Amino acid sequence: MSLLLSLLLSCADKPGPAAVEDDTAEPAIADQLVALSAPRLLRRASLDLRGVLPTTDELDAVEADPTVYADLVATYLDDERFEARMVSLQSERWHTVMDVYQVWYSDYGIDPVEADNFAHSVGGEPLRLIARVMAEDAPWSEIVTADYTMSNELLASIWPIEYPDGATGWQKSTYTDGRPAAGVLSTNGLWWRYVTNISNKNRGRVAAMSRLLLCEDILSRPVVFTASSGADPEEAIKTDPVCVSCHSSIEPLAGNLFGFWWTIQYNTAEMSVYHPERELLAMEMLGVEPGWYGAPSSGLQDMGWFVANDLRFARCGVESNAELLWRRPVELADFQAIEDMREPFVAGGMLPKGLLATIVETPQYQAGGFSDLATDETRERELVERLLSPNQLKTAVADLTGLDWVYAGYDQLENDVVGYRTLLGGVDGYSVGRIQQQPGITWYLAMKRLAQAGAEALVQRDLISKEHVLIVGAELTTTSSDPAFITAIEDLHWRLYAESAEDQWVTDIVALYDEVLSGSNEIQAWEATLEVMFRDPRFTSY
Amino acid sequence: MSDWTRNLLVVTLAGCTSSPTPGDGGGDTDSTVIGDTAEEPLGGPSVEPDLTADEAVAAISAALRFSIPAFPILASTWDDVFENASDTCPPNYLAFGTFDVPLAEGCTTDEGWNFSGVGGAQGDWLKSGDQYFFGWKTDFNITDPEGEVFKGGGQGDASVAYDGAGSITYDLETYGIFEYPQGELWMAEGASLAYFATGTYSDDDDYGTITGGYSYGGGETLYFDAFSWQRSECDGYPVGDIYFRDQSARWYRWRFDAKSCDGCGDVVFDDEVELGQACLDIRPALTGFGQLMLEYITASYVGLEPLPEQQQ
Repeated sequence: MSLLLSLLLSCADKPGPAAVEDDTAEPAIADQLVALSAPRLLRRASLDLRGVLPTTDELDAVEADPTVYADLVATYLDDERFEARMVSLQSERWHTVMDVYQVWYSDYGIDPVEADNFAHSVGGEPLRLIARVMAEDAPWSEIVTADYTMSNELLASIWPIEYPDGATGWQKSTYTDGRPAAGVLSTNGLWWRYVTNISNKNRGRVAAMSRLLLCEDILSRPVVFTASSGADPEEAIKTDPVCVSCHSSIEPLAGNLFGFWWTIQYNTAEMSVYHPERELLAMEMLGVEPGWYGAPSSGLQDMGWFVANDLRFARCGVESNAELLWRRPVELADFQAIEDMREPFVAGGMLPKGLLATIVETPQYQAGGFSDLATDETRERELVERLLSPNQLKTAVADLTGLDWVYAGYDQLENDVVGYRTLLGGVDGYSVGRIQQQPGITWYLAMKRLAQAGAEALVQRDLISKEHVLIVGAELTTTSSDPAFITAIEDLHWRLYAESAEDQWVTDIVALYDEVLSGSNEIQAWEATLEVMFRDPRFTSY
Repeated sequence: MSDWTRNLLVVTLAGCTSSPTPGDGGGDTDSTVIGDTAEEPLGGPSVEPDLTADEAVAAISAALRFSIPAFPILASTWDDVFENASDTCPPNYLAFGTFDVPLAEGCTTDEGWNFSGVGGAQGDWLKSGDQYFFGWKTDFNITDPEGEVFKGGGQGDASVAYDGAGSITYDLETYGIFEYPQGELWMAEGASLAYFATGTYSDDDDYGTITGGYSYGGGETLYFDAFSWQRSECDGYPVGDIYFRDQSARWYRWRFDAKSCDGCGDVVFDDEVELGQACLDIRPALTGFGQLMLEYITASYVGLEPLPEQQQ
């Protein structure tokens, strides 16, 4: 609070430069942090933006000339995998992907083998829209103003959606039930995650909208309830000053969402469609007309534009994407860093790729350690080593080994019904809201299984089937004393870790291979060796 | 630092620089408040009426072709469909209309009717026999042998008092969505409903009030606000507002004042654009609302004794 007061005073007094000199000022954040090596930094960016490791050529290039980092990042932003990666990244914040919604796949008569697809399709709808905006580098505001949604064949088969003829996969589509155009605010997927009921009347949804799009968490405001507040909540929110202070703005906002106000929960007919006849019912139910912080609104479409024009929206876009890439919450100490990115972001038309390119150039993003100048606060705040998320592990291992780890229709790293998502540190959209950044017992066990599965798939593809996509120059029959074996192992080390192998590591890994081989065969020896490499902290972190 | 404090800080710091006033896109002000617009406001949806006043009123008339969708059609459809229930399907179907079959599996009768869902729709005389009550809370799919699905979800109730001499008094609260292609009138279209209504109806008088609306498939959508009609007053012409929603999700308001009593009213688009006056006699559609209820009650229940278990 003292900082707040000092800022207020400085605002009022407009002091000259001499008045703000401060001998005790902290060192600049860039001076407190030590950047990753260029190859490791490129690996981080590639995993964040594409979900895969850099190619060997890319690593060679950035090692030879670290200045090509920005150019390679630019190619990552245009990579075909960028869009899918943004879906997963934004999911960590939007939390729309859950295993279970109020309506189940079975309520639509969908086959159980499609259960995981159903959950990811529903929750993926708003995320796909956001990711498409990012992939097309359209203005960030389009996430709340777009006149389309994103749909796949499954959603088009259960919801009133016009899906392109003959198309497959996620496509721009249009609802046919008369809902207004307001980007993610018009998607079923968002409001299936953030539900309401007869008495809540969309107020909870306003809180979600405010937190997600404006970075203002209404629920974190200090509220002191009085005895009279509990008598009749509907009356109290209109008359009790404690309640009115928030609800005077919440009620009009909630009024914009009544087309999604279901009168009965758990019903496919009610929840699949928008209900335009309920838009005006807001006035009857809430006693106020729809609005946006004092300005009248004609409904959901207006609300989208109000959000887009709100000063907090652009800043929130910067803040939220910085959080996702810095892998930590944005704090007061980051105020200027966020502001420094917000200004060019707004001036440049709020283009997402430019924003991401800026974020990955920040010291906070590139940090791999601390300098002697680092303060305790900085050491506590900054995350210099990050755990790969389950999604990053999935896509990276799949890219390296061809592993498609699916069981009974369930992607093993993307759900918790019969999968390992939260065990491996992931977000489940409901009870776990932030990616785990410290390995734990379940993480270790799940990672072990993934490493085993990846190693097995890699040996099968590259050594038994002799495709040699990742393992090049060595065969099953190549002995560990053969230089080709050593070269193959060192190449793997470079690709997996973005670091050159040290002699001691080569000695140790060859010893491991030989020991396993002595008790089994070449297949098991290679699998054990690769499993250990996948479980290495240099692989599982970035 | 809490989000609340942080946002206060953001607002405070923003207040140190010049900021636009809400909606004007520029200019200097002394402070910035929550909800202020960005420096360069983005565009926005075009707000221009596509319809003239007469076209809007014609659209309202078309959307009233089945009168206002009400419970008799739901009740009769429910009754008709459940005549196809067997002793075992739905397995725990009760005589007065509740059943519970898991949606995923459902059950199928020998004649090919599949019942799945949960809920109940109950209509019967209550108490002394002059009060009819139809209530529903439903989440179901019922598929006929031809593959047509009677589906619905919602809740509501209708309380109708009958005086034994051709006059009813009703009080309805209706929420939900219902559709059956083989059904009658509005049920064949499929309607989403959210309204409450009260009134009386007989051959001599017709009085009704309604607040709320309905939509056919998200297309034709009407909303009534403080809307009423009475045959003995104003010759049955309505008083209040009817709103019609166009394809751009904007509303046309058709307002009848209590003095004109001629079926004419001013039409306003999006609460702002005055389109002039339009006239149309929609009294037949309004009369149909109570008339259908009276016909249903007299045809289905008058003369029948209340069920013993409901005499309390």
